[in-house]
Amino acid sequence: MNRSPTPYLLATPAGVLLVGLLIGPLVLLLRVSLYEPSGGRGFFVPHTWTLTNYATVTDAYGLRLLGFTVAFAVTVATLSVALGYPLALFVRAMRSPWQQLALAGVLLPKLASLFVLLFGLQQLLGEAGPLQQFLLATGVIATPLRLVRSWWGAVVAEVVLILPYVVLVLGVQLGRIEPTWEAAARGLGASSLQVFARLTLPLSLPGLALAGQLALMWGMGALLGPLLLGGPEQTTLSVEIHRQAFEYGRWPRAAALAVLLAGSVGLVVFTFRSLFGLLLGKH
Amino acid sequence: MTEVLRVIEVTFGYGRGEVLRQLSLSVAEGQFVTLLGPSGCGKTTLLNLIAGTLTPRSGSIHLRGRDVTALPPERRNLGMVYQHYALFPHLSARRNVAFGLEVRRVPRAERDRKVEAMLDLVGLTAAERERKPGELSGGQQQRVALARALVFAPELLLLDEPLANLDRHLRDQLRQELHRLQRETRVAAILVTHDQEEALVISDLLGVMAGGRLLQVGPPAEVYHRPRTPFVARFLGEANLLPGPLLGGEPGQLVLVRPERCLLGSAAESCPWSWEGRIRTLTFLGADVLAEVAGPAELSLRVRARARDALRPGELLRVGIPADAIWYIPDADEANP
Amino acid sequence: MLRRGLWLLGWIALAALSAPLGYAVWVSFSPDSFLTPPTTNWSPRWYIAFVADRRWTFALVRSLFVGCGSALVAVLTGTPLALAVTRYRFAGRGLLAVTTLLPACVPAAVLAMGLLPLLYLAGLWGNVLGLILAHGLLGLPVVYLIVQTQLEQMPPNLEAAARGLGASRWQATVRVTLPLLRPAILAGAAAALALSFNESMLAIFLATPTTETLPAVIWPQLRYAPSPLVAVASCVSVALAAGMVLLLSLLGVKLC
Repeated sequence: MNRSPTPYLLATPAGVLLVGLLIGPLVLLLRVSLYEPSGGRGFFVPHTWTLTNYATVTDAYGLRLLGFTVAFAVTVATLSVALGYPLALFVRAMRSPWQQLALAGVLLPKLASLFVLLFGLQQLLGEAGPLQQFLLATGVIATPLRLVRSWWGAVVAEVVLILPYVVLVLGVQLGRIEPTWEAAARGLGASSLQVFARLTLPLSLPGLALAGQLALMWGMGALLGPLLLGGPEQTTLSVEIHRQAFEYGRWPRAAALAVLLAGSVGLVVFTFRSLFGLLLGKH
Repeated sequence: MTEVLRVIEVTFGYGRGEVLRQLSLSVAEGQFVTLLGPSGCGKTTLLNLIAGTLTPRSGSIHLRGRDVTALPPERRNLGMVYQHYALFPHLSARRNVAFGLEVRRVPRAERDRKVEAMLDLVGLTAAERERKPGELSGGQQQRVALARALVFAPELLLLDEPLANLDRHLRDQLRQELHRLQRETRVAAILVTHDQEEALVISDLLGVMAGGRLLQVGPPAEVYHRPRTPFVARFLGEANLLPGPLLGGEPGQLVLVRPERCLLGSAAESCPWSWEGRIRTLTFLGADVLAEVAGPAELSLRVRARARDALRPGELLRVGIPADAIWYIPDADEANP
Repeated sequence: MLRRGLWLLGWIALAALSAPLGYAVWVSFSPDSFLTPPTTNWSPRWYIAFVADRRWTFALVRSLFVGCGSALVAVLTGTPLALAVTRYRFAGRGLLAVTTLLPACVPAAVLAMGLLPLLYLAGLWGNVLGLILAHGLLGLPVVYLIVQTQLEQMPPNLEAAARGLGASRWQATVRVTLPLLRPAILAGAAAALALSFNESMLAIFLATPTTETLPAVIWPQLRYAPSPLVAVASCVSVALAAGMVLLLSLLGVKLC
């Protein structure tokens, strides 16, 4: 172990930032969740300790919120990975200039504001939007569908937000697979399908695990998709936190919900990793 | 001898450039063919065309009389060993070797028997068989790659500089083993290399490539002693290329004289061509020395002599060329049309 | 045939991913107050309105300011951290490396509910500095990861060679390592800037009238009364992102 002070000096700025703006706030979050909610003035009652906030977030309503959030996250993560994996394979198979173009196409929306995407989606999927108009005009559907302010609207929005990251993570993992390995497998008599099943898929499993975990994590924290393209029933924990803090000014309850959310993200990720580990163990 | 592989006038290129031009080659049963050439001459490309990883722009490739030009690699039944082995990192050595049999759906018992027999043949210990490629040494990886390519009895074994990444001692040892394995399995093989020693030692037929063309194919001794172009003469071993008319040839011809065929001192007296020269430089090669002897009219000859002959730089002596040491070649390389 | 079909599907998927973006840009040139895309009659009307409205322009300038500030914070914290983690072994190294990635993993609502009372109690609520630091925290893992990747790809014996030639450890870092890291640091800074410029999750929690960034102005409109102005604001951020990608590729930085 190095006794020189250099590494500590180098790590100090980041350490200060992390402690001050990450660890500090998370501790404060716990403290705020233990204040009594204020009756009207201020956001909480100082110098009080109470567990009532936790009682109100673990009642039937709170648990229903949690259940919805988990179901939403699982749906979003499944769709993101199911769509992102073939897309990453597709981008990988491209020749040089096209590959850069495709990657830029995947990344550009990510660098632009999320609101741009959500705004575009709102307009595209809305009842007056081109998609529905097209479907109506061609007679595929008889009456307008409820795509905005609905479950599917929220899911589609969140998938669009998460998908680029999934493609990126999987792309990095697929990039580690040498093309000569696949050529060698073909030469040894494996068909394209066999090459995929025996080589490409097993070698991309670590990337799939990581992408799945990230998608689950972000799906659990989903806020903008449900808020802007979901309806009143599409309330995730994050949406409820926002509502408690800003519509009702009840910071302690919002903080308690945030603690619940953080805990459940950890639990979901842990469960996912265990299940994935079991799956790999069998492999 | 039955013909295993026939390559007919294959041309290949990327964009406008041509990597291979009108190349033809034939390999018979059990033959070991080595393709030798400087890097970038197209030898690895030719291997990939035969393997089916690349498709020729024109020309055709036949395996045992069957046109396979349009066939994907997995239906050609060829074993290939890559320069960096291309072993599958997530599978053990044994599973790597079993791969070709697994995808052919060979029954388990037969598969296990063949895999173990092949691993015995290449000499991998029981513990090594369970290791992943990352845990094996370069030599062990090479054996696994060889076993993997041979286990399903391929029509033809393709070897892309398989010994290039090994140190010299290991390379010599594995070259002998490769030769032994090829003899034992009687598989026809094509080895691609830029190492001329390797090419001379191991092959039944030697092909020299340059600029996307196959300049000459033949038994190693024939290619060495009777090269068809100055490039081939220079590329294989040391060569003295002298103006033809000087040694009984015609204008426009060159004369090839290998340094080890030249004679010095009294032995030179009886040669049809001999002259007085002065030793300009001496290079020590161990058992031999290479002497550069400057003769009349800027005629310089490199001569290989025994080290115990105790030659000294600046020494004046007679050099001679025996009649059977002379080989005339046209003074033009056909590689540049 | 099957291959053709798969390629077509792939391109359709890629197009679908970019469709919302393209549509937003299209709508921003609408000549009327409805959110209908123009077909023949393209108009810069809403761009003029955008520039004329001080609330939008102030938010734009503030977004750029916060973006530059937080990129600076992220680079100044992330680069030395990456150096410490890749080049030294020290107590707490693993913990630090994991904690650094947390800002990207903790749900925004959770982080925001911690930052909100912190800024409130520290008197930074309604102060741009609080926003710069918060965005800097989000940029830290990005800069750290990019610089760390570059450091790991760098042959370690370069520094040893510099030391062998008589440079002190510090000199080796300043004269060899940092110049080689420049593209990575620039890429990290650009990514952190883009991230901050378009940060929308914390924005809807932390925004106050005096610290409104562009996303903070967009979002209530987007929720309650979308207008072509929103589309214009979107275009501005898309243009900035595209400029960033161009800049990065000009700097010769690979995105992945």
